[in-house]
Amino acid sequence: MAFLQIAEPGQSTAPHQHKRAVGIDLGTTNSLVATVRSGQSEVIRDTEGHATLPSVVRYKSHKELIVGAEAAKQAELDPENTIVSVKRILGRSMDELKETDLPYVFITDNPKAPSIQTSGGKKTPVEVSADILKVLYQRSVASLGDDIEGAVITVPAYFDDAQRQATKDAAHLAGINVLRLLSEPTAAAVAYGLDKQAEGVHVIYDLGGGTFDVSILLFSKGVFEVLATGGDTSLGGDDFDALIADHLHAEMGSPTLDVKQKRFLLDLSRTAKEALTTKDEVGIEYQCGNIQWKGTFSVETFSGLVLPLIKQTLKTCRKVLLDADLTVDEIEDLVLVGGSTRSPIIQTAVGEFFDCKPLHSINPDHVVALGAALQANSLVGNTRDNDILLLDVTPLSLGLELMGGLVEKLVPRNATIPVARAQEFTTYKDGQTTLALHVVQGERELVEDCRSLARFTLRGIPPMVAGAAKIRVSFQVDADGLLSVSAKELTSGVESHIEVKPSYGLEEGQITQMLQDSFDFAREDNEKRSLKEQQIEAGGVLEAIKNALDADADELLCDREKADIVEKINQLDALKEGNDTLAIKRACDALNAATESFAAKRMDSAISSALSGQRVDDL
Amino acid sequence: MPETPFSDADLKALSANYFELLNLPISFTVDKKELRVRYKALMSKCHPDRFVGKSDALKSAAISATAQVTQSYNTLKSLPQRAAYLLELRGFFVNFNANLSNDPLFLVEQLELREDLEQVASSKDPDAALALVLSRAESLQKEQMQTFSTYYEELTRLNQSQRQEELLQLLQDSVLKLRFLEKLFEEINALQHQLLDE
Repeated sequence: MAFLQIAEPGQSTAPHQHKRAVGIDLGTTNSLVATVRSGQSEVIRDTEGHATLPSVVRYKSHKELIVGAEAAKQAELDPENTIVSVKRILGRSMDELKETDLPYVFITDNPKAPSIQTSGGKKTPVEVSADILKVLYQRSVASLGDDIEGAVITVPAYFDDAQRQATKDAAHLAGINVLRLLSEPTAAAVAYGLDKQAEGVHVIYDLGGGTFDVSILLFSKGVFEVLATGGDTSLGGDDFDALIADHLHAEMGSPTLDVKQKRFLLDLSRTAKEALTTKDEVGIEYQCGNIQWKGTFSVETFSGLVLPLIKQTLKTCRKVLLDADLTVDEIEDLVLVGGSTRSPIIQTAVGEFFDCKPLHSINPDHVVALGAALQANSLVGNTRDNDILLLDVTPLSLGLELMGGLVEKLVPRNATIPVARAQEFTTYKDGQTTLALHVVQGERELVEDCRSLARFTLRGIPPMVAGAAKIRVSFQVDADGLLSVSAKELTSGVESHIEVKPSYGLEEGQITQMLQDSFDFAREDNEKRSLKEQQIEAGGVLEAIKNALDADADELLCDREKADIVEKINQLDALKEGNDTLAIKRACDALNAATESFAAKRMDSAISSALSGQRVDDL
Repeated sequence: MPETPFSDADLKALSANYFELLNLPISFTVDKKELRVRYKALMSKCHPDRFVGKSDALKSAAISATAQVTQSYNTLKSLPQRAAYLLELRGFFVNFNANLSNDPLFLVEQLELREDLEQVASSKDPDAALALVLSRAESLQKEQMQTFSTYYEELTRLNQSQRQEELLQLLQDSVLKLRFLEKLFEEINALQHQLLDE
């Protein structure tokens, strides 16, 4: 068809020049950067040959900060000034951070964007992330030169608007031109070249140190789509280590351990776990302080310990399949991401579940950055033919608060982005000249249970009777998942616009919780919703009838009629704040019935006054 | 004149109706696979990722175009929305807040289905109980699709306003029923999640 023969005016077809671009995996535990050189995606190493950079920053003084492995070593010495796993607090508000037991001293002068008090001064999570990104970017410049066009930065598929915005802000702060935010599972799929096949549904199973994610992607006609995504933010390889440590501790006869001895046991457990990826049994030698112990640890024991955790991840896989409306036999490929998937036990269990031979040939710690680099390379125009397209979805529904605390969802969960939705609203009161808009995200029906994203006010609406104004509210979510909202009164053209750039957001665990709540409470919500609706209706009826009484009662009603109506008004007034939906409805109906003849009389009188002074011939 | 990456023909397509934009016949029956293929073909061309490094005007034109394509796709993908859109094209706007005009039987059936759904979790074999509700919901949906098609067919054949009023009422009811069922499917999905947790 004729549609979309896109050509930019003045676009040149000059000889192809290779442009530099990088892909950055900003991870919870480790971060890394990769680029495409001579058609191959490869990680960029530091001068000592390390690819991964631990996502740890220590602020020693205003002048000195340490990023990476060195900072990680010092974390226990100086926990207050050493920020680890900043990704977990990126884009979150103080209220949300209160529930965590982090060792940092938070400054809450802006409760929506708390910062951490360090020896290097006040640091926001965005600044901490930027400090990590700067190190990776310097590494890229040292390796590629300073003419880097930009970077693709990966985010978890479940990252919401606030978390994506915070990631982007951190990149800007680090002086990086962001080509695109890309979801981590999509990056992994690209790294495995799944886009080179014709069509297929792929599962990306990502088990890292502290988080677990699973996503289902569909690739067809050159387009990657995230069909569904799910996970658990408090499940990962660290939990495996803890289980092994508990087991060994029991084997040792449960001696009392000090902090250092516990640390030693945990390190020993991790080493044992890693050794079991290639052996069936490992010898354990514990020697720390006054405690010495020797023993063995086998694959069978390990398997027995972690099986419940693996089953938990498979349960999530089932849910994600359900959301994507797919069965196991429709899955083409299974990609394993994250260091914890090195374990053969996991490879086998997940492979059996999906009835697929899992793909794990690429280093599971590098695969996301490698895929991001490929996409960055393609975005800057280095690949000529048939670029693939990566489509993301919204992780949570986006909506507006209506009268009475109800939520109207404008953009549903799992909607492909970019997306734009508009809906018309109206005024509730006569002569209303402003409309307050409250943008929220979440799956529940009531505002109080959803996350507030932004508030803004449309002013200058010309005074009209209630319901006459037409206010069109438009939501637009761009390719990176960032939302902007505008409102326009259509009869007058008054307009207002906001870029929703909240300085905080939801933690992944809360998304899961909120989704879960929305299922659990769907019924309760419906009941609450109908109560609210009934209350609003009662309010509307009362206001209209009171106005009508003030205007015309003396002329049109006899005392008995008036007394009857007033009595019904009082009954409804008394009930309308209560929570008996049916009683309010009955009182509403009774009031409507009592005012029927009054309404008819008002109509007649309005018509006759309109007609008065006109001759019959004019009609 | 504002900068735009699209030709006049493109712009015309973007302002055309959703069926034309996706190059599908205006009909209640839509080939899902075809819909998806066309959607992707359009997205491949107008997605903002194709305009990295280009001017802001081009990027914002691309975002609007993509949003329009997505909106078309989402509307045609959903049964009640597709049905309502077909009526909209004929100048009739479905009032989703209206009550079902006169079909107590359907409502009773819906109540029963929801009651059954509530009891699934506590039944002896939840999976089988759920499968039963699911298959009843599916057959009701099939039936309702047929109903809508029949009335819609009649509406398009109508040359004057003989039965139009009545037909439109029936069609609106049918759209509302389709939406009832869509919500039921959402509830079934939520329950499936719950069952997995237990």
